[in-house]
Amino acid sequence: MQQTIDQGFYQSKVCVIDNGTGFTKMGWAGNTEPQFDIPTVVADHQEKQKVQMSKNTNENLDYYIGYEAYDYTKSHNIFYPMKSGIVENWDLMEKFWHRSIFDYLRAEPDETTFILTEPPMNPPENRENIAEIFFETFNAKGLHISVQAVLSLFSSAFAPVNEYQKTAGLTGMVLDSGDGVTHCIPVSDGYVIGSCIKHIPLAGRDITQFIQTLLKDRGENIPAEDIKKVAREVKEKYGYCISDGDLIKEFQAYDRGDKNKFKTYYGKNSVTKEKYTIDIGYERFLGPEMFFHPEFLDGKWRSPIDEIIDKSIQTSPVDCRKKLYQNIILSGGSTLFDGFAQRLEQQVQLRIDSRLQKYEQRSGFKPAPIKVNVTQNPFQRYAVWQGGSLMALQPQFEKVYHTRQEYFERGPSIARYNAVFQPQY
Amino acid sequence: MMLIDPQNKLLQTQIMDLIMKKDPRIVVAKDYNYSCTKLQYKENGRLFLSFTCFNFNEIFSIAGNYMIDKYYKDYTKEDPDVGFHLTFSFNVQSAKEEPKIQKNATEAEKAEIQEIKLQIRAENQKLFEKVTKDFSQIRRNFYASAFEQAFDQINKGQTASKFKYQSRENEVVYAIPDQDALNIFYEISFSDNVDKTLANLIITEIIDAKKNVKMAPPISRSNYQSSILKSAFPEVQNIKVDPNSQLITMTLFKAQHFSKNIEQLSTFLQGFRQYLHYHIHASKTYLHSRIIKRISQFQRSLQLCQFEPEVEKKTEDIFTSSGVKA
Repeated sequence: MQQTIDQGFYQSKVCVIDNGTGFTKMGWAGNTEPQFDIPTVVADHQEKQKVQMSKNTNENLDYYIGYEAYDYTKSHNIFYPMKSGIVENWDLMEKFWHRSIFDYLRAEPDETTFILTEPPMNPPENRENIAEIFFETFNAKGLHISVQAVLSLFSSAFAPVNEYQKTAGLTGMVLDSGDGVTHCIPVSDGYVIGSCIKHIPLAGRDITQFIQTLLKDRGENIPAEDIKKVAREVKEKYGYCISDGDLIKEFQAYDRGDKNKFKTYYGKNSVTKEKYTIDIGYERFLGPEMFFHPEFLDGKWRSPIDEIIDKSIQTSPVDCRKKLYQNIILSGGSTLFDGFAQRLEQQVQLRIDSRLQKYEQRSGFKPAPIKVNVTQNPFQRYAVWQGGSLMALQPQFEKVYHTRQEYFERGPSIARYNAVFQPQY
Repeated sequence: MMLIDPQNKLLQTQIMDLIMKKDPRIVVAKDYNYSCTKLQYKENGRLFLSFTCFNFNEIFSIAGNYMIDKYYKDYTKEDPDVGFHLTFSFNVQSAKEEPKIQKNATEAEKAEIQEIKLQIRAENQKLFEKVTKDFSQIRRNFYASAFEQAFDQINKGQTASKFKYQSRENEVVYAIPDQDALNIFYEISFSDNVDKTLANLIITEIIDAKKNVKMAPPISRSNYQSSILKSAFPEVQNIKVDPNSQLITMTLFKAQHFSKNIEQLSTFLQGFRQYLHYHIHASKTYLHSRIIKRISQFQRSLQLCQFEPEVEKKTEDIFTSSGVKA
């Protein structure tokens, strides 16, 4: 007597979850922006001394995620389940997913396909673990794990900003800088050239830390409990990249007392609710300068980002180098600084021009110039998520994801394989 | 611990965001039970909410008008959006405008305007919170209105009519009102084996737990042979009994259960299946993490274990040793 449900409109029940070290972006595919952008944090009661709880509370369900987690710092411990883009604590991650699927997205996993993201060079065991959790614990209908860089390319390929991107398709160099790590990933026709990936373990979190020390050293009157928040807000609101790379000129502009350069931050003490103001100066441009002078932050790293990008492209196969130079894509929150794209474009262009000039001097032939293009996506912070959302809408997507049936036939190892390069089982 | 909020968190955050930022964009969100909601903020300052679910017409015919009367009287009912069944709109501009402080105003005037400003801001905040609440729990309101209507009618001494609706692909909910009680039959079916077993356990637990609860309603597991069900819905006799599905019966009495606060009760009734589903997956997560811990413990002890060195057996060769002496 039960009628079957007319699928039609409901066919595309796809959730995109982009778990990053700092923030998790999640939402239903088909939208342009993720509906949730919450910190990847779990407040769990474990390792706390046993406290008498009411009988109505189930200890195992007593945990919170996202911004909610910060409200429970007194009774719970705060845990970060991810580090440098890779899941560290699977127990907590499973809890995080459980809450986000049932409470935040309100998805019934039996009927939903999930698109998850992973950093490049993610160990295959991690993919297997993800498949195990999603298929065995949640009974997901389908699962697709995609590399973040490919998804940001997907997003730019479907909403091209310039002429090059219209023809570039899924070939491009992705500079992905989030909270934990900065990656340079060359992608050719949707496939990551794994051997040419370069990375520096400096990213948004380090810039925040650097600004925090600058503020502290200058003796600004900031309450200790708010300093991290203030540093982050200063970075996000006032940070910029100097256009020509001339640091001395910029310092001089500040020393002259240029009014446009100095800013004032208005804050409110989170405990006493007292208002305070602080002046912001050099840290506006010194923080983002990390990309071009990493030695300011950490003496171990001396290669600027343009050199790393150049090296990465030069080690890539020769037939795609030109395309990679023409399509450098920025992704992740830490590439949002004003003037970053222009500065990077300028620096990489300088390197290529000098190389071509040297070639001309030695060989006597004048090679055709190569124009570098660095593009900012209008939804840069969510580029990865948006790529996933667009991917889910493609008619081919149904052939790409792994279904529950496949999982139960072949086991977690299906997560290791790509849908295009079919394995010989 | 009931964690599933009747308000959709996703809609809640998005509605506030759209109203505050006045950002003309569309947000499509799916919800449990194949329901779908669309929010759209248009440039003319109107916020549109569209809703649909697979069994819309069935439930709307039971208590659709009751729901609109009870919850959405203050909003404009629009022509349904394409692909949706129900659309409401709210005029964001209906919020009061805050007065501006003029430059040449005296200190006393300034203070007065500031006070009015704060008052209006608080009023607007209240209004927006109400809109957020009403819009974000549209799914709850829609499903719960069938029960609320029946409870209301019984409370008023009217005769409530029986109803049934298909809640999922293989599940039907039957409600049969009595003079001062409501019998509810839930069909529950899980496709996965582990889910089925856990559901069984949880249902048994629910039935057992009524000993510890004050005024617990009678809950039992039944089959389609129940005489009340058969007499009210004779078609159930022809149902082929699916081994995967089971029927749970509960009887709610007017005096004990729904003489007041029918909203809370209806929230639970409409979300019963989600409640079960949520806890099944929570227990699976718990079991999974325990298995992982156990396995890693085993692996650690395996790594620590050492093979005992093989002791060579000393056997005397009868030909070379003491046996033969030259």
